[in-house]
Amino acid sequence: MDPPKILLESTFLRAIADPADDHHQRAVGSYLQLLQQYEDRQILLVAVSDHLRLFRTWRHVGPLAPVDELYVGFQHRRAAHRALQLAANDDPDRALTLVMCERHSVTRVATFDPFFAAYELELTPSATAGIGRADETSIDARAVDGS
Amino acid sequence: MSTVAEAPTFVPAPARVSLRSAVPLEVLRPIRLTLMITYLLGYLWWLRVKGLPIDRISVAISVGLFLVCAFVGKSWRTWGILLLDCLFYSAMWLAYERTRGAADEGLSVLGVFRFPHQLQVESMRNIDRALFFGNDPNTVLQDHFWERSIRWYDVVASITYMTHFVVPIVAMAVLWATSHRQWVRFMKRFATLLVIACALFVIVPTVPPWMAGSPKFPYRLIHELHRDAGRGFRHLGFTGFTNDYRIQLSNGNQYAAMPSLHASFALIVPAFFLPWIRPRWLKALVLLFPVMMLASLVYLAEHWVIDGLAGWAIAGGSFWFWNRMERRSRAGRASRARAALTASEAAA
Repeated sequence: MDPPKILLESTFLRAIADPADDHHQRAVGSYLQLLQQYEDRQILLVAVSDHLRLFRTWRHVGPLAPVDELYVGFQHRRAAHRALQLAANDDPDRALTLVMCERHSVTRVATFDPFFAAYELELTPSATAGIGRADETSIDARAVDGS
Repeated sequence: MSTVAEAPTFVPAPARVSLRSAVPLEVLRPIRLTLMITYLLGYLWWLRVKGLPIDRISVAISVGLFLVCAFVGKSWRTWGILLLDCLFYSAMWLAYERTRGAADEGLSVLGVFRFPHQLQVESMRNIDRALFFGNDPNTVLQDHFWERSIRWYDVVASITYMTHFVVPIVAMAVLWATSHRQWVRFMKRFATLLVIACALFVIVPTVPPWMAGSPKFPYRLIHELHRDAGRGFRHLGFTGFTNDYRIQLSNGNQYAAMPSLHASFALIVPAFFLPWIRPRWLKALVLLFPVMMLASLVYLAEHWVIDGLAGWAIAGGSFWFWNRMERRSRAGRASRARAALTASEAAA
């Protein structure tokens, strides 16, 4: 019933919050477009509470004011712990992001982490434009898939 | 194409992994779904055997049981939010019942000011007569259609009338279980409607049409009208409901006619879900429901037409207000974000 959710992944959040980040300019450009869509009620902006907490002190204040948090409960952490064994990665944060995407039916992610290109997620194009050469195979695969 | 032809060593990238295969199954999801289906079957059984639960306590218990089923496996925080929601929900209905009671003998504000009990006996009927060129819609409908035997339209009118006790509650429960954001949006509109309606029950207590013609009351504005909203429902075999309903009626405020909550609830639920309905014919069909409700209310002598129109107007006003507030809130959050980004760019 809600508009489609776009999850701002931790690399994207960091790029917005930190002007010294390599991806800052691209992140801001992409985020401004997302803000317009948010204002037009086309999307909802969400982030994993663990990640959002690092970059936002008060709700509805600062650059991440429109972002709603997806609260991480015990069961999500347990699922992320088990997901570490299923997925080919050893990063609990990434596993948690995957769990939250699955549990909250998120299919679009704004990220600069090439890891997520391997999953059936629609990565925000302007965000993925910044992914390095090693990730181009995955992006090409998406083009082949027609997604 | 040529690039592909010249690259025989091209190795397709591995197929992308679905999230379902990368994330362990939520163990309690099947249990939750089973419980919800069991609850639904139990509710239908209860409806058939015992009748439709309509008093506030029974409704609260039935909604509470559904929510317990629907929230199995959710986080403790979600349960905490649900608890707060339930407190708000209970407080809202309690306030509604208290205000309805106060409308019977006027309302005292802090013991200083007292709203007088100015019963509206003729005003609503006069408005109806003005709207319908000197005719009383209630009497015209009953004179033409009410018969000793129960006709198909009695069943339709009765069922439409009774949906008042189910449809808003089902809508709330479904929203509660599926999207808390949408539940909050719905409740803002619903609570606003209730607050305004309760204020009007106190300010303009109104004699309903069935009372205006009843020999048990001194008004006798119109000839006696039949009042049996449950007869079509009883005709279908739902006897338990009507008994409970009569008990409920004797406890209610009989002058709480203006505005009609039946009419406004019948509009607020379809209007809320309208944006998700795509086919135009279905939208039109859904919007027919409040019209059917108003026609049923008038036919069953429960309300004047103006009561229903006022209910619709308040529901419309509630939507207009909250749509505007939500648009402003979204724009405010987005503009605060843009301003913060600009400030950080300037600082950098």
